[in-house]
Amino acid sequence: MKRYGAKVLVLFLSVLLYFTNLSTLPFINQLYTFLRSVVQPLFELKGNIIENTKNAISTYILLKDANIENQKLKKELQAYYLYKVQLYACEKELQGLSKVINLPFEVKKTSLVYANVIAYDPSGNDTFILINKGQDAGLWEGMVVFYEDKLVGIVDEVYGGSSRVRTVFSKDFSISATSKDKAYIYKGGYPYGFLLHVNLEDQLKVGDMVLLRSPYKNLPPLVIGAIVNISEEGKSFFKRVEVKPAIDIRRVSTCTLIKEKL
Amino acid sequence: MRFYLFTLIIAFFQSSVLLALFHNLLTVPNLLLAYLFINLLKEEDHSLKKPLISGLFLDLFQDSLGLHISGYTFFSIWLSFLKARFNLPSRAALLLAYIILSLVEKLWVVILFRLRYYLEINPLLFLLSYVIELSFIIFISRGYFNRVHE
Repeated sequence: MKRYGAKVLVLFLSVLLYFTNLSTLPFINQLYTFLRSVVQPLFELKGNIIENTKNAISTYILLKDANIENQKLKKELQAYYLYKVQLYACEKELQGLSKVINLPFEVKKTSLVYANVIAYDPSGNDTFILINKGQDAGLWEGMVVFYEDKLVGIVDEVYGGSSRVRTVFSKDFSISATSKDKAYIYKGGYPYGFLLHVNLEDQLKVGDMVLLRSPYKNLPPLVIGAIVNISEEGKSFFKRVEVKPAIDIRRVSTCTLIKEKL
Repeated sequence: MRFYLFTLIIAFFQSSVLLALFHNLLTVPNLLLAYLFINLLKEEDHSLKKPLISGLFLDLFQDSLGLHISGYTFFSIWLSFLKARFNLPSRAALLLAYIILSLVEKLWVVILFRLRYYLEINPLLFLLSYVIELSFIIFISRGYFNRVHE
């Protein structure tokens, strides 16, 4: 009975370790980091193997439909090339214009990281996702995460080989946003988020797009969502504006991160 | 020492190649558990050292500190309970014991994981993974029975 007692105690401690994230405590974190650093070369090798195996499997699975898929992608790529040329022309015009009015204009190249979603929020409110990239891929807190042209969220905790992303559905999520060229604060929520500080005289209407705003950074205006409801609350100076996020978190299996802090 | 080296290799293989193939932490064939099972059977009165270190290796590689350690400890407790009451004279008995214990262990891990995160489990993929796991234990149990008969 005594030996079972010790085993049950160990079981209890390990469950505690899992649930309380004790690995983030200073002392245990150091030990954990040390253990990870010992096997760091293995981690790098592991990353390469995962990537190559996935590529091999994807290639094998898609082999049958490769021709059809290729034709479709070639057409899409052609459209993007055309768009790129148009953007390049715009960039040149803007550069010329900025010289004339003596305004600094700089186009920065953004560095991207591609990641897979490994777990979702069990509460059903989609407040966070876990992705398979962490310190090993050089991630840090505050990185912008998106899928297609839609904002998914912001990295809020980075672990050794994974990270947690706070999504646009989370109540703890707030970010600078813009709609109809005016700046607001977007605050997350499920099923709808909110635009804060919308004055009564602001001409917003249902269906207007809400985009990411980054006045001091060179981040693209990713789509946060669309306005679904506007109401006035008593004698308040502001309107209550509800925003339906554009992203469907449960359908996101891969996402992209911009290597720049907000 | 040989056990720990093999454990490290299997944990690495499981967390890199198999995880990439099965995409899902919960449906990866748990070859390490099968290897641990055979090794614990060989011991008269097994300690927690082997399950703890095997779980730690897997947790380190899969960034899930505590999840696999608790799963393996749980498995080890039930195994010692089973060993104290039953003999496993044939491969069929061994397989049956492993099926019961590993399913209990999987259920434990899924419950713990589900309490913190959500991840869809594909039943077909799970079945395929389990068949691979059972094939592996059939393969490695040959050595165990040869040793017992000697």
